[in-house]
Amino acid sequence: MNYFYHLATLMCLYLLLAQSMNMYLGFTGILALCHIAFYGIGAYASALLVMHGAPFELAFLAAGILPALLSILLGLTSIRLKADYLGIATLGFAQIVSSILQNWDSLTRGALGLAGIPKPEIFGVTFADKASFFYLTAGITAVLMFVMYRILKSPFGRVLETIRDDEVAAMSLGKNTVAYKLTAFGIGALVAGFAGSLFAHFITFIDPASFVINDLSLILVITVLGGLGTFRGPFLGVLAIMVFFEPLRFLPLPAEYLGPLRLWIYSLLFVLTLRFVPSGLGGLWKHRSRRGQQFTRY
Amino acid sequence: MDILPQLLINGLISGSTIALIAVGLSLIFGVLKFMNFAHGEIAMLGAYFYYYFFITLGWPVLPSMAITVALCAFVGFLFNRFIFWPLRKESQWTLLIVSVGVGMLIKNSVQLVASGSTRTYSQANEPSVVHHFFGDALIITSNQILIIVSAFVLMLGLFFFLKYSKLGKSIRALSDNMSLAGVVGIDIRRSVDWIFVLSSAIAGFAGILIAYEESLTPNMGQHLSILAFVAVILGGLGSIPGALVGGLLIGLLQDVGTGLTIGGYSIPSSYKSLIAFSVLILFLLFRPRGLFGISLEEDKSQKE
Repeated sequence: MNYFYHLATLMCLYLLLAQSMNMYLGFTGILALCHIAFYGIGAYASALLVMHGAPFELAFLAAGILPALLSILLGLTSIRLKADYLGIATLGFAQIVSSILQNWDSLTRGALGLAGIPKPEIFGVTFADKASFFYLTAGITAVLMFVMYRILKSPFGRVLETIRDDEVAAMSLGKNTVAYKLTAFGIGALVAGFAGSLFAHFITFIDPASFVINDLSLILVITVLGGLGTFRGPFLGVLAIMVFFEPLRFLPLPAEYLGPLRLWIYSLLFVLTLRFVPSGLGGLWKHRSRRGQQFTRY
Repeated sequence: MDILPQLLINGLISGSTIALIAVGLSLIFGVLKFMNFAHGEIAMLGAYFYYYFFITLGWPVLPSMAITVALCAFVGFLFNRFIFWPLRKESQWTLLIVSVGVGMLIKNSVQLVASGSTRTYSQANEPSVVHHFFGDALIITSNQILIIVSAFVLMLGLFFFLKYSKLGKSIRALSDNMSLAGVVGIDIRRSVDWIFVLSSAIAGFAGILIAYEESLTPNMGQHLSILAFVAVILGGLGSIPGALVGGLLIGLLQDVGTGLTIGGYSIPSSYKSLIAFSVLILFLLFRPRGLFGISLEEDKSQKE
């Protein structure tokens, strides 16, 4: 039973990560490849604060706000760039973050990682076992999902989609597109930081290796497989990955093959999805195959 | 200041290999107008193919190199034919993110087959030949001399190929104006195939050279991609000589920047990648068209 709670908690975390990435990647069309860095910063910030005596509530908030601030700083320098430049700049940012996590020994303990991160304690209640931690994560996920849903369905969200489809048109309507993009990027980083905090206190051990570009592939494949730019996409993506590919874990293969094999299958899925069903699972049943409109909405 | 010549040479060595990857990236960008995130992974693949033939099977150097380059070219061809070419009419955005996926696919394939551990070509029983210049001020191994010479020969060859051969001319015509090139009877699909074959072959060869100097890990491709991007942007998007100069500059900046101690301060070598990234940010902010790039008014990097 504990395994199912474990799995369900991970599903919530991946859902948060995929939906927050979808917020700027799928809905706004910002090709930023540093989601994993925001996730890592959130995890480290939260773990370090709690280990130095801060209450969990404060650490959780800081874990979201710090990446959000960084994302706005990064965005101010690079969000006006065209897609290719932005992709490279953000990929570079992700590399810098992981190199800092690895080399700033006095703060992050370098490659050794942080062990013994305490379980969260909110108003005197400790979420120590798997079941209660799952309820905590599910509650937070539900709230964040609802907030993101309201944001995306609001006039604000419609402007984001306009920017993705035709930025010049959005500008001509008098929208400050840079401010909109920065906000979307910031919200994405905020939620990723929250997810990072939950991850750190769930696993209770983090090291720089958990936040390398490799793990971006899982988030990307979930988002793309489910359907970029659809709210239900990440739900479908997480379900598909967890139901069909999590059982791969039980294949009778040595561990050193299993991990890479799963990543290999994910990346193959990612390429095939974009090549043949660019709108993903979420777009399948209302798939309009007009060329150049691959992100047609539901 | 005694170590400056040594740093310059080291920078030149790493820079010339980055330049080789950057040139291929620039060629691909010229026709399909997207940054191929999978290009550095092709170099990584080349390094691993060579490891297989040279170390595991024990073939001599030249045949191993030849078959490695051929295999890399073939992989590049396959990815173009089945992924990139069919998607060429989609937005730049789609091509870009597909190439991220292709890169992950290549990396995970290598990780699956060869495991993630670090390897090197050098064997303990085979000491490298060392040459001393100016007393002991400059130490270069014979491998390093070979790297520099072959990289520069390759660059020169590529330059003359693009300038004078028929295929080279049609490649340049394509990157200038694809539809017009089609009108005058250039077989676009065939030429794009050749661009992928050529640039993947060069990247594969560069991968071998890099792995001789450093070591092999499946993660090296990502890093190479970023360095090559920075080189391309430094030199100016779409400019082949720019990519060469940009690559050399990045190599020099990295090695001189981390090796030099000025007034007691130096940058630790673990932050080497920070240098490339800072240079990138500075260029994006102050001179986005790079050193040799065209001005934004005549920018052809957008699709018509």
